[in-house]
Amino acid sequence: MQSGQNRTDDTEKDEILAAAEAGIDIDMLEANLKRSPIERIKRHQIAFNTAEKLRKAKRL
Amino acid sequence: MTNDFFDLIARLAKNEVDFVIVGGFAGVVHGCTYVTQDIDICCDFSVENLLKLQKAVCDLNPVHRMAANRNKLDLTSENCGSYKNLYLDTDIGQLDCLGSISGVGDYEQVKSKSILIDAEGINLRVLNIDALLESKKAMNRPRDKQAILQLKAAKKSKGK
Repeated sequence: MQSGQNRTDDTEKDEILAAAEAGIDIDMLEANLKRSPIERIKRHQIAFNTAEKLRKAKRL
Repeated sequence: MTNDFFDLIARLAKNEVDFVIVGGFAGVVHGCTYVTQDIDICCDFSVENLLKLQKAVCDLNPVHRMAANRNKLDLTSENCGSYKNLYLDTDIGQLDCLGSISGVGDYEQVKSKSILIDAEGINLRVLNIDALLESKKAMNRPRDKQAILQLKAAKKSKGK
């Protein structure tokens, strides 16, 4: 039988593992968590603008 | 069109609109790495608040994006009461204004489950991560499932 601490560790591991197994980049997520909310908003804006430029790009 | 989500929400705050950031953009604030195409807010649908909202975006050519004729936003004291949600398109991005959130409740309940953040001197209310998870579980679309995975992992990583 697991101790309470082990159960908590397993739950944490499961949730991060589940995200990783679904293809989520955990390193990117954890790097983002080190940023402030406004930094996250600004980086989202940059990503959005880049995606929009690529979406609108014309084939040569 | 140049999207600027921060400008959009900053306008609302500067015009003293009573609102909480919800949906995908709230996930961004909590650390999710996906890119979202619009801003969802839950707001007080009182006449006074909706007129403040209209004032905040009036120079951005706001239209009802779900309406077949994409008619211009034209709120008056008389017609405000007929709206439960507003799905708007503006020159700087889509803004969905919701009167309640599935899995959380009406605006007062949403507000009670929000956190306050300082974004370059502007105070913004954002749905807290637990309530956001509840709303995503209630919606349960494929993109919500992805958001749930990220939010749960973010919550655990923050708690380490």
